[in-house]
Amino acid sequence: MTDEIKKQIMAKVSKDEIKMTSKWVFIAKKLGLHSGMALTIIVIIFLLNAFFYYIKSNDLLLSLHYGPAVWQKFLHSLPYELILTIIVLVVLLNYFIKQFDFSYKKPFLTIFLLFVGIIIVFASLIFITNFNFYLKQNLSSTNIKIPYISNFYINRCGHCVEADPNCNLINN
Amino acid sequence: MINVEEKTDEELVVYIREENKEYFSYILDRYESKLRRYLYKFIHDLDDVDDLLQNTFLNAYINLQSFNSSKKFSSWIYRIAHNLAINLIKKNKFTISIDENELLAFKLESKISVKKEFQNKELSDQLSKAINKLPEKYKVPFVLKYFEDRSYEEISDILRKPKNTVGTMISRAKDILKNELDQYDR
Repeated sequence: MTDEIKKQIMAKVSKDEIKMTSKWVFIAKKLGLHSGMALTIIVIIFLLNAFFYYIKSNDLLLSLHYGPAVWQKFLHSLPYELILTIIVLVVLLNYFIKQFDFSYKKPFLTIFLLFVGIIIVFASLIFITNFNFYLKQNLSSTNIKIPYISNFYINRCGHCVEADPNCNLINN
Repeated sequence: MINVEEKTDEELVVYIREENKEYFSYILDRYESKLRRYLYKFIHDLDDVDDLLQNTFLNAYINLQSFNSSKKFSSWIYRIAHNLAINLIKKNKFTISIDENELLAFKLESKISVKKEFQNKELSDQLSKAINKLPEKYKVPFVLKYFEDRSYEEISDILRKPKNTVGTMISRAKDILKNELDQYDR
């Protein structure tokens, strides 16, 4: 090294012109990262579970049996704002995963798909319980209004959907 | 006072963090020439290399508390240097190139013996050109392996890619070089 560069660096170190960032900053960043990722995963699980409940409570999959004529209505009736939110959170999850060292030890796609698989499994597990039913019941019976969620569960889930002989969906 | 010669890089870093920051000069002594040589492969301007080298060590010092002492320090500091170099390359649209004189320290696991390679200046030129023609994604791990003598694990940590991927990239680099040199032999 040229001694010049070494002298410049050590002069800055000695005079405290440059300082080591405190370890607590890195600990806080790490905690933030872990928390952010955990929260993202929990929210995705919940929203995916809500999506499954929406599909089931509105019998949307049943409507597919009525042929291509009904498929357009099926597509129109999907909760796109929910789907978009899930996609945005999955992109955020992708960012969080890349911040961890384990993300490059194995092929990234494998790790990412593993996370997605675990999310789908947990969302499915919640879906098959009575969680959504009791949540909807509680939201309906109390004055507590959770933005978007209350409206989603009370007004958009649980409508009984049937088809008339002309394969037109009827919303009760 | 500690016996610096007996301390590993990781132990030295812990000592710098907890006891005496002045010992950072020993880190500079240990890594200056290695990093300079590595950075020179990215940027052939000596002033830019000096700047990058200085920034690497400054960044390393500032972020020293983030280093996990259970991992290899060399991978960590090489990664800092690598990222700074890549940023400068992207900014100025440089390409990574190998100086033919560096082939004096180069070892190639192939049918071409090292001795023949050294004796044949023309082959050396061809090898240098062939290495410089490698796509960047193969050239960087290849350079780290054969010019910087890094292990696959260290290259994996520096480039943040799986070890298998690093192995595949280096293997492909060698295949491409063999094809290039075979064409030359004909």
